Amino acid sequence: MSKSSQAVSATRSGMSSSAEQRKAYIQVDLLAIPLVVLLFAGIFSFHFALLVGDWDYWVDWRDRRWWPLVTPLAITVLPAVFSYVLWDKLRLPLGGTLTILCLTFAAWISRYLNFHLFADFPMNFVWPSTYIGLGLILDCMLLLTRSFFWTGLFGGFAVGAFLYPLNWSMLAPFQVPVEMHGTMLTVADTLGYEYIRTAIPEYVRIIEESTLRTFGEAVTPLTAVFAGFLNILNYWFWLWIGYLGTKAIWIRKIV
Amino acid sequence: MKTAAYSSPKTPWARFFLLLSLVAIIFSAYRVYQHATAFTVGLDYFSPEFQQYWMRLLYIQLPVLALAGAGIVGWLLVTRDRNLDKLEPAEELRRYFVLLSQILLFACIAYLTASPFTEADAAWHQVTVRDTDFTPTHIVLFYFAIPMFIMSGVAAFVYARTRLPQFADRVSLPFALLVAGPIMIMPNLGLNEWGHTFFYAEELFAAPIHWGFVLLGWSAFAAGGLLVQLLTRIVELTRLVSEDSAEPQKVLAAG
Amino acid sequence: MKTILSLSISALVFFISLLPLEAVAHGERAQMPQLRMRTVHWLDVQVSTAKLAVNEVITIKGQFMPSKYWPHHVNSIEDTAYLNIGVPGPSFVRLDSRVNGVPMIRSTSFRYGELYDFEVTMKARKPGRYHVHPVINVKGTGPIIGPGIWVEVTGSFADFENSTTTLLGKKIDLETYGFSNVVFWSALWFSVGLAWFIYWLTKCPIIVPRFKRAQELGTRADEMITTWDRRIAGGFLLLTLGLIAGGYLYAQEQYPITTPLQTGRVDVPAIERAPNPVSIKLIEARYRIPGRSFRLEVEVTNRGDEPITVGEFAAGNLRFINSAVLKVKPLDEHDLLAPDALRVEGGPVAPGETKRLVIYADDAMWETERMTTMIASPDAVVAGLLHFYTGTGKRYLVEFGGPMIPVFG
Repeated sequence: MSKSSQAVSATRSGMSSSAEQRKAYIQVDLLAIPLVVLLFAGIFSFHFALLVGDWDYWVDWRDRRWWPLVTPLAITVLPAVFSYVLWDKLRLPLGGTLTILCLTFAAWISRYLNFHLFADFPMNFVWPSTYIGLGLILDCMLLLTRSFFWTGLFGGFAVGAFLYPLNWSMLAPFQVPVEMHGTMLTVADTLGYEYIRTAIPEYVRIIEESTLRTFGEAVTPLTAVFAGFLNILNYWFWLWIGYLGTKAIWIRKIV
Repeated sequence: MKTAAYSSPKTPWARFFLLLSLVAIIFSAYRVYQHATAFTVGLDYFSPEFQQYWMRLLYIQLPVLALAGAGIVGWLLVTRDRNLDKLEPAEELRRYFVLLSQILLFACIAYLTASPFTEADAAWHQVTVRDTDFTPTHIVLFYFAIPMFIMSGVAAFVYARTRLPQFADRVSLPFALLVAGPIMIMPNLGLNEWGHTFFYAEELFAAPIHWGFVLLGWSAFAAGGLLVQLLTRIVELTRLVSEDSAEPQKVLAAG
Repeated sequence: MKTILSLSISALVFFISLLPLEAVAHGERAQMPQLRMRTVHWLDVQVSTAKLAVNEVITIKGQFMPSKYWPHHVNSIEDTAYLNIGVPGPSFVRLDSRVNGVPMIRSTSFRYGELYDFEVTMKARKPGRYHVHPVINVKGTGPIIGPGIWVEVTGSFADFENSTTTLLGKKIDLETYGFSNVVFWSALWFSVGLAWFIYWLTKCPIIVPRFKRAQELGTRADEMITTWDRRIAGGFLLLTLGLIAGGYLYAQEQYPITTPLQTGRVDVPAIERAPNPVSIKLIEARYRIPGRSFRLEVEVTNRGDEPITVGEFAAGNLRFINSAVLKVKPLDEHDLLAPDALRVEGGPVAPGETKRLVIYADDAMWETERMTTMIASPDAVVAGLLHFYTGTGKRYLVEFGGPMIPVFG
């Protein structure tokens, strides 16, 4: 125990009134809420750029096989980690929605500034997908079940399973077929071919890689269910990391 | 037992916004400069224009940042509070607000670095040919924004170590992790550049070669632990003079 | 504060106005000389126009030959490759690209020693002056950059148009297609998410009081959740699921016909070319550093019916011309061409003759294009292309390759 707390206990001191106490509380809110928002925006963007990156940068990367598998695994990390501290310590069901809101906000700013203004791509080629609905599912489930276990089991699954249908309303127009020089392409592929990316040749896209042996073309639903399954474990794992991160550990010195 | 009542101290908002404006001006100016020169004089490391407009900037900014960092940390150490055992609770609470405002500034820089400036690098490398380790986006990101990020984190850490009793005689592991993450980005840059030169020629942003950076972003997952440490003490310092002092004492001991 | 701000902005604007605003190169000089010399030989690269307006079309065409001396330590062009263009961002849009007449929308592979014709058609999108390079991306090896040519685009970016017609017969503007729909759904989801956040913010101050309360309640902390919280959460959950389902069904109804993203490989058949009567054997290659002089000793066999002489020596995108045989003018100030830098000792090679020739390529380009760093390579093997000409102007291309010895004195 620090010396100061002994000093505090020797003299019985405290805030003069509950109005003053409230003022102090408000100051903490004014400092901590923007802090959390900015930190979420920065860390989530960084994490997402390095783990999902091109699948979210380019519309011609959002396939049925890899994008809906890779993305839920990466999108669940921060909601799970920060749900732990926000729920366990503050009973705020915001870990999912707030982290993903911050990511979305940062993604739009960055796509506009970097991919549109700086690198000159039209916005319809580089728009960020939406994941806010997935965060809302996690938060509402956590509040309604008040259990990380059930949230992982149902919410974690839902994040994996619903990512594709959630985005389909925006993505569908880009998968309408087009003919180019005797080859069938989608609108997204056409954008990818026409808007030149010197360092992203066609073969770099990790899309639709498979044996093409599908059961009645049920590629997307199978991917969604598999992603949902993986994501249950994923949610629980990152929740545990969040639990470790919330430990208020003090050490005598940095060895 | 004596009683001492105090009112809520104020966060130094004016100073905070002044520093924030300074950060905003520097980062925006750099961004404008990058936007105007990256695609014109920034494409070829071996051209005299590149040496003039980009390498000169690098040679100036590195020593300036090193001196500024050393100056800030040195000043914090020299002016440290040598009588922490006599610290009044009201002053301690004020220092917590100052610390939170420093972490807020850290979060602003974290956002700028990890989102717009990191993705400027993504956009750049995906449309141009990488020539050396020094590209217009690397010079801004790795040799300016990340050192600023490190500086702001270290400054907040040293502030807590030198002015807050709770942090003075022991080390907060979550705080140390939060500050160590950005520092570790610099050595990890070695892996990145080594890999890009030795074995990885593609510019896929989510490639394993970049995953070292993600790990360092994840150090922010310890932010919850720091929040608990800060809030535990703030709860104690904001209790009303009329409240029973036994309970908050217990909380601190448990923390 | 305002004064400082306005002063800094005007200083910055002034400073930027002094900058030269054109792109010079694409970093090919950073690549190891061996990599440049032993990967792809580009020849006859030309553009249909050096100046055009926004919306006008330009064609870049020429030939390339993957080297038979391709370094073993880098991935092969015979595995996966893609014909690309090196321009800073999408300053042009690519309308068509072909190798030997085959569209290069997909990735492909090319064979060592085979000569390929390429042609890329682009439409100017953004005004500016650009150094346009053909590029072949090789999987695992990176971009192999061809010679650059300056192209100036005039006009206004705002006038740029780019449309296509879908297979369902709908004409679409590729610059804006689908974006307002994206904005609508993104804004809708953002508002719903924000509403949830704001609901919890209305309970402010939330951090210290809730932290304190949760600590006090311990295992009973769930009591902090009110009935209203549960109702609101139930409402948001239903709204979310409803919007996901509704959005999906709406899109299915609007776009009943969609196809997966298209990918795969195409093959490029070789073009049948006349047999090459010329063959060479490299005897010795030396590079003399102080004189920036490359000396090549080769044994040439001419099985043709006309005498031949060396008109050009090309290596790593540098071209050294024998002015006695060939008159070539540089395309622009950055064309890597030395019009009178090739000296050939040994005279023409007569039909049926086998003869030793000594070829000197002397020019400062070796230095300025950073080819001299070839002495710093762990694998000092070079390659290049010799262009032999007959008196009637027929050209025969022969690749040479082998070890290179530096001469320091």
